[in-house]
Amino acid sequence: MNHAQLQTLLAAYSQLNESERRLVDAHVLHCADCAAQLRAYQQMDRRLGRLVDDQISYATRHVISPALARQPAFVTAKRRTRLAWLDNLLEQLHHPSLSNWQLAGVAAMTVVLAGFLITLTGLQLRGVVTTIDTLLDKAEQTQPTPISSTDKVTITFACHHSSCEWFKAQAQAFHQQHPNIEVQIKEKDKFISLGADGRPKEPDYQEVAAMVDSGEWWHALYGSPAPMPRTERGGVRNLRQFIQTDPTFPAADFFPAAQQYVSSEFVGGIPVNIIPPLVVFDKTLFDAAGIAYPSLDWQLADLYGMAHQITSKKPGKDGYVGFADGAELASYPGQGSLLVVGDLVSFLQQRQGATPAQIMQALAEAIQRYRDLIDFGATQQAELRIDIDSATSLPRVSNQTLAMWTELFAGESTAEYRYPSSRYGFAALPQEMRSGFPLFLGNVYYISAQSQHPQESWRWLRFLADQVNPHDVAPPARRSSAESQYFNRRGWDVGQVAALRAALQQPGVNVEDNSMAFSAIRGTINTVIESVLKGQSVAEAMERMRPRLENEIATWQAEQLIQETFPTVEAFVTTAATMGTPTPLATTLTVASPTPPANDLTLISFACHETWACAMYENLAREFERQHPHIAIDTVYTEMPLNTDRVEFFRQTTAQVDTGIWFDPVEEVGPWTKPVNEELARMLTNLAPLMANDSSFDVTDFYPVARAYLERKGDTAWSLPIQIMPMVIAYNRQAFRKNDVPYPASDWTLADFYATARQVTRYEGGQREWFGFVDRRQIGLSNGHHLFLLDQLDPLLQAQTTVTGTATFPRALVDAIRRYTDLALKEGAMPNPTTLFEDEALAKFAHKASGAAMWTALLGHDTLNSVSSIGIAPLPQPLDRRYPLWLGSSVYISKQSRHPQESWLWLKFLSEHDLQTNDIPARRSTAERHYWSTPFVDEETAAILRPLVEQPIVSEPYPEVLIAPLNTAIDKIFAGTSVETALADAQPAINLGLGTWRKQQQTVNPTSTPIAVIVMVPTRTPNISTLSVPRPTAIPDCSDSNIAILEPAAEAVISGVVSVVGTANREGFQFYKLEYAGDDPEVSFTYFAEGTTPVLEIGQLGMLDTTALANGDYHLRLTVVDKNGNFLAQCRVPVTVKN
Amino acid sequence: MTLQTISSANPPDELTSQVVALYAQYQTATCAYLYSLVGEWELANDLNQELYLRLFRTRLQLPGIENPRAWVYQIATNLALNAIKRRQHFAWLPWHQASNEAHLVWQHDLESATADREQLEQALAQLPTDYCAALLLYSGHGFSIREIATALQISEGAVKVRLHRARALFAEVYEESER
Repeated sequence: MNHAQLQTLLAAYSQLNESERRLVDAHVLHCADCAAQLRAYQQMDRRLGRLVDDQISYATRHVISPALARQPAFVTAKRRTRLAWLDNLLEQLHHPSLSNWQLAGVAAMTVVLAGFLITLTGLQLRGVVTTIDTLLDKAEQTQPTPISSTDKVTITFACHHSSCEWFKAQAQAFHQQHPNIEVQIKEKDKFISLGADGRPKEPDYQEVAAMVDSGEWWHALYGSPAPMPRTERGGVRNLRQFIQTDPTFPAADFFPAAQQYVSSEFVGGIPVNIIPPLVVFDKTLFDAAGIAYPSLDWQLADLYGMAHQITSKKPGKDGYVGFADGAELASYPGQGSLLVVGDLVSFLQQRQGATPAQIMQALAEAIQRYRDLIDFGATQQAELRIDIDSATSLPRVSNQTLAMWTELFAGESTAEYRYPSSRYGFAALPQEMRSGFPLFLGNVYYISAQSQHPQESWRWLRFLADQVNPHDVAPPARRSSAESQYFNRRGWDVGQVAALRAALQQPGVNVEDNSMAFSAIRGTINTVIESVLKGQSVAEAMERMRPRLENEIATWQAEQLIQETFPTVEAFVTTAATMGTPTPLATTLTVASPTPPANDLTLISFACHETWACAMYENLAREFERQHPHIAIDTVYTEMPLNTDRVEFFRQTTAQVDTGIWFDPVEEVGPWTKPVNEELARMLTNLAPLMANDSSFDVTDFYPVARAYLERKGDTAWSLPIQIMPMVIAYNRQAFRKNDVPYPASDWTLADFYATARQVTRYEGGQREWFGFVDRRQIGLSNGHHLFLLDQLDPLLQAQTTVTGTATFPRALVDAIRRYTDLALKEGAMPNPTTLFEDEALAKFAHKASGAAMWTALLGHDTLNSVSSIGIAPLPQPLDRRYPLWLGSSVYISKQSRHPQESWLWLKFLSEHDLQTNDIPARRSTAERHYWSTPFVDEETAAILRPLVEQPIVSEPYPEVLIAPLNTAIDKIFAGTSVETALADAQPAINLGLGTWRKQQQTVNPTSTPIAVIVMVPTRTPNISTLSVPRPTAIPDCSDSNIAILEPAAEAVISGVVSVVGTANREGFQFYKLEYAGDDPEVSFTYFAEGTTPVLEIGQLGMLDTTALANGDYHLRLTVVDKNGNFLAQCRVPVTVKN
Repeated sequence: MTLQTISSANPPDELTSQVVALYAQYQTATCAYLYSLVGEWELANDLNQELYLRLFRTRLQLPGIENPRAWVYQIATNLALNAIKRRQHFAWLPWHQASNEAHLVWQHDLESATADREQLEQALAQLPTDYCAALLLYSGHGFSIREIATALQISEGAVKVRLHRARALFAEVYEESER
């Protein structure tokens, strides 16, 4: 190869193959010119690489033509630009014009229906097609080799009935038909283990499925009737292919709900039972009132009429109640409107041609009818609701004064069954309701995903599916089985059987769940109904929601129109692509031009993240534009895809808009105020100067917690809080009444709390009905345990326990720790907070309101909007004064915005207006105008909330360096360590913490009495090195007190976001960094925090978010680097992450 | 091609989602690449939009594409070359104020600016477009020789030659600007 050829190769040196590289390397060794040229090329690459990085960075943040954005004539067009093609389409279909966000909703819904991801002019939608799904489907389609006639196979089957004898008998019968296949029945007991609380632990079906070839399970492997996401299906095999290739499979014999299930894309099992909703009625009360029984085709109006008639025949003091929602149909998630209008989809579809106003009028009339029924005393809806998931038995509401009630029908083969046909009749739901409440499937037979014998298992299941298990507690899923072996099983009369038949004919799956607009409508109507149930008039409640509801209905109507017009989504997308500019795949439009002259029109873009919220902001924007004619607001809908990193999403959003709203304050506040994330300074505009220069902005109008947030740094404020979410104790009134325990008083104390939690914990027949208290919001975690010790921490710090060498840990504090931990560990009145969410079943339980008599709740969506039977109490004293009020949503201005002044006006405007949510406005004047008098808050709740939001922000009275080891010690106690050992282990860190705190106190107030170092028994030399436990690998110790990680302690089990506490200080200090590594620290460490100022005294070094890490062993490493770039000594601490 | 044909050949939704994935992955990089070739952010934005629309319209070709990234850049390069040719015949008069503003924003966007950015851009602008494309793809966008060959629709040998010439020319004009 000649010199020229070699020089050509030099130009592509990094991409050469091995032989070319050897040639060039050999040449360069002897050719100084070529060596220089190679270096020049490499430098060129670096320069051009940086240039392209800059360009990409710029393109990310400024992807718009500023010229277009700031031209007034373009504003109107632009607002409709992104989805103009869809608007044009709707216009052609003679649909009224929609706003931009409504168009976004229509497009989103239509595309999401097909289950794929598409970006429509900046609107990113989440799809459901994933690579992993494809791979899993492929794996499931793999067929094992058919067995030969001589092979003998044994398969296992998991039985979960109280008696598995029936299955054993079936296995024998099956073996006679298939001599080569033997079925081993594994009984329930084989899968039961003891939980951390020492009680038998009910396994998840995935755990069971992993141990057998096939089995039975209840609830059809569905959490709800809606199709289940792929990630939740794990553990069972998709039976679709078996069903499709088995000509003998009796799909047509199944009732509609089961038929729909076996015809779906993912069939988790062969349905065995169906649990239909029924109305049960007391014939004697109907006879006494002289009213005909419900007919097979009765309607909602008939139910109302009968309830009214029977109630009016009150013979005694207590009287009759005509109807009750005993099976909680109406309060089942998303079904609030069921008893009011029946199936809401049908209700809307019947009025497709009507205007939104007309539909709302019809809704208002229906709600009024329901309200009248309640006012008349003809229903007890609030009293009889229970949680169907956590109930140990289905409700038995017959009390001889109730004429009709709903029930999810099951349990007729048990001893508890008590509906003899001589007295009780059945009716299917009224006609309008039948399509609105999807049927639940009962048991299913499944094949484990890991089974090596799926073909044999399928034969076995097919055999089982043809039998009827007499121990089953619900109607069979197959018609032939029901007719031949079920309806004639008991002494039911013709009417009861006819009603059951009718009920079993209901469809199974509510496909409308896919429509975002419909979900929005349903949510809004539920809110209106809840407001009415709380005493608001229908007119007032409806008027409040009118703008939102009008928008939602119009959007839904457009969706319907699109769906009717286009038979497939492909047709819709293809048409949309031909509708002219702008095109469906245009880039996001973003404004980035400098503020224009005063007479010009400024367009600012505002990011919102939920469709209903975007509608609200759109309405507010129009009002704002009327007040500020020179500013136009462009609301930008940005949906956060699931599993997306929130910080990354925030970063992307702020790069695209002038201003926006975020779900939380952009920084945490309160006692655990985190240091300002330096990245915020690069993403956000500092609002402090804008606030200071705005004479009309009154920071004192904000409630104390919001004001403290805005003022706490003086010259820096990254967002404007517009909502407050106080932490409260919510309680189930029914649980208190059942136990005859008074409701919590507004001034209750921690002692009252403990007593109440014990009293109200309820076990019946060895089964826990509910915990006394569940820390649903985990105030006990994330350094919060000490809150439960608050009544003893002040005495601890105030005690003048001056000692040299040894002192006893205050007995009262030890008792406080025991009192708190015993509640979970010994008394069973609270689930263990550190493992609450490890146990899936327990976590699900804990999230249910009825799983606990009391639970912590952030006031807002999950409390005030819940059923009326939930009460609110403040946190017990002194917790109430030490726990921070949470700030809700906040609004911000992006760093890249060229319109900060205009954006600030918009932010201020938002803080002054009703955001139509259940959260309390952060401004007092706004709350007075829009919140306290709304249907969301009744007088009782307002009396509790007003003092809460007026309370001053809590300053942290206890040093983190003291609290952190205390919390770690309590974590260990919950993990099984004795109180004495846990506290002894925490001794060195507490010692250091108190020492540091004492020094700080002396600095702040030299005259104050120093607090003594408290050393606990058993005495140990306070040596930091005792914090780490040697590992087999050589781990640098932390004996240098200037470079030390004190918390988390060595071998600590950590979870959530963890504060790393210690010291970082050396001569010539430049910076320190924190890193973590997996179990093998010699592999590599990953950076997670740093600091550029030395931490002289013990303090927070950084935060580690362990939720992003897999559970397991890790090493934390602190490294201090001096000004010469020398890496000084390190401190390394082994920890275990367990989330 | 009819809808029926599309459905029978490949699931359209899967192809669309592939286009969307390409869009999500490369939209800013291609925008920067287009800017380097045409020298105007506004035009680059327009071309970038056109690029993904084309990808969407021609997504049926995707199953036969060995290297989607190279394919994206191939279309981008063609779009840029066409735009430059068209500009040689006629061009819209610039909207002065807006152009100045856009330029100023870019000029003052110094947060992570490369010190000699302007100098580098001027040097690149003096290269023939096909040379510039090869050099940018290699040095700036991390393309392999094979990918560049696909994107520019030339042989791998031609890529190496073009790179060699582009480097020499770039070094020459860059050094000249330093004097």
